[in-house]
Amino acid sequence: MNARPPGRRRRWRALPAYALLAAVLAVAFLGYLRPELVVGWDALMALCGF
Amino acid sequence: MPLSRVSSPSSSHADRIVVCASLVLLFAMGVRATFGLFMQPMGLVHGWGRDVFSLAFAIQNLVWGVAAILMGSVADKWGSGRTIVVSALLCALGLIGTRYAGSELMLYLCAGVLVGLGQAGTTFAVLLPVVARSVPPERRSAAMGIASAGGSMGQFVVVPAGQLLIDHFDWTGALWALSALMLLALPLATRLTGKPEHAAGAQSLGAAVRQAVGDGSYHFLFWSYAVCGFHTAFITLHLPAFVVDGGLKASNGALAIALIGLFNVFGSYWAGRMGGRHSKKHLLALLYATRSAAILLLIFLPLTPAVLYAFSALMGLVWLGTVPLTTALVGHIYGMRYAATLTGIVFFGHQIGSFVGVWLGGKLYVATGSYDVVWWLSVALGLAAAALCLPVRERALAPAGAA
Repeated sequence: MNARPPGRRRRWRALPAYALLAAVLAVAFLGYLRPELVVGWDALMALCGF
Repeated sequence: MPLSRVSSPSSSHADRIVVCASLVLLFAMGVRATFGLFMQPMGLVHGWGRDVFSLAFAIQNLVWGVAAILMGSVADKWGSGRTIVVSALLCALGLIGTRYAGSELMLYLCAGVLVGLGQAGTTFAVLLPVVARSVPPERRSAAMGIASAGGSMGQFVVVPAGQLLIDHFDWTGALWALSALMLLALPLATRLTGKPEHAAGAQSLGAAVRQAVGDGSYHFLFWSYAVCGFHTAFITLHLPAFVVDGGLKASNGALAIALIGLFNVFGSYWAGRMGGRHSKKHLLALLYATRSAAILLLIFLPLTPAVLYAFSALMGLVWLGTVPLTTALVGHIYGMRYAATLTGIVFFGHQIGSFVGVWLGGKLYVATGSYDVVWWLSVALGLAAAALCLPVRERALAPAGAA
């Protein structure tokens, strides 16, 4: 029998999804620091519509 | 209030709809965000300059704004699933057409008109009302926040992925891959079907639009959303020049754009979440006032990398948080029956603001020799938008003109 309340159990179950999300965001962030993107950042910013 | 055909949706059914809508927004907003990556490689091959790409992007934005009303009413009348399918196909076709565009006119037609039409039916005006209909009213804002965060995440993660595709498959292969990404929206659209219920004698589309246009709150939302467009378009187009004028390096600019994108993901989610707990109009006012505060930071402090990063993070937090809040307010006040159409009209206001932001930013820079006047104008507009949100009547109107 699991003594943890259901809310906390749900949060633990969602942990891998949060970890994956954090990893994707971290990799994407590092992607912006690649030389190819650094060189073209003004064109990207002007035309990307962020 | 008339709701969707799913009158009492199960939680897992609603969760699936939110996830599918988030993914469609991720693809659509992500693909659009990569546009700037193609300027250099395509420009080298065809001999096109920045002016050609700028005009294509301006056309795309205008078509997106006008067609959002059209696609919204198509979704309200014939169903969101069909609208998303047709729009995703148009977007994919536009991207493939861009690959083979040999003249400037073809670029304007493909990257401007076709992609703009596709964007209109695969982004907020069509997707957020689907999400809103699928959940109970008390969860609406939070669900729209998650879907909006999906769009923000697309803007953030697809750009470096797009650059990777260009590096490995050239820009031609990257355009094929991005069009394939848009086609992933087709199976997802099968989960996003349905349209609002239309009971006999219920309000007509014309009556709903007349009622909204005759209500002051709709105008307040329209014009505050226009300020949102002004800010985002002016900053994205003119921040690079401002940063370079201030003596900072390209690497500082690249980090700034990454920070805006990253914080935008959290800001969109947070705004939607908070909208379910607090007054949406007060939150909107807070977002606009925060933008003014962030710009004041940039005006008064000397431009250093740290100031630029603080500005970017703060601006990112309040970047697209306006989307779930404004859409949720439109749905809450005027009902879900024509939410897509009414959201499309308000989004057109956003695009008018975008156009003015880009145009006036350049015009005032040329006239005065600096961005000072436009920054101050942005501060004033942010405060005006915050003031416009406060008198919005945050309660549901009884449908007028119903038989």
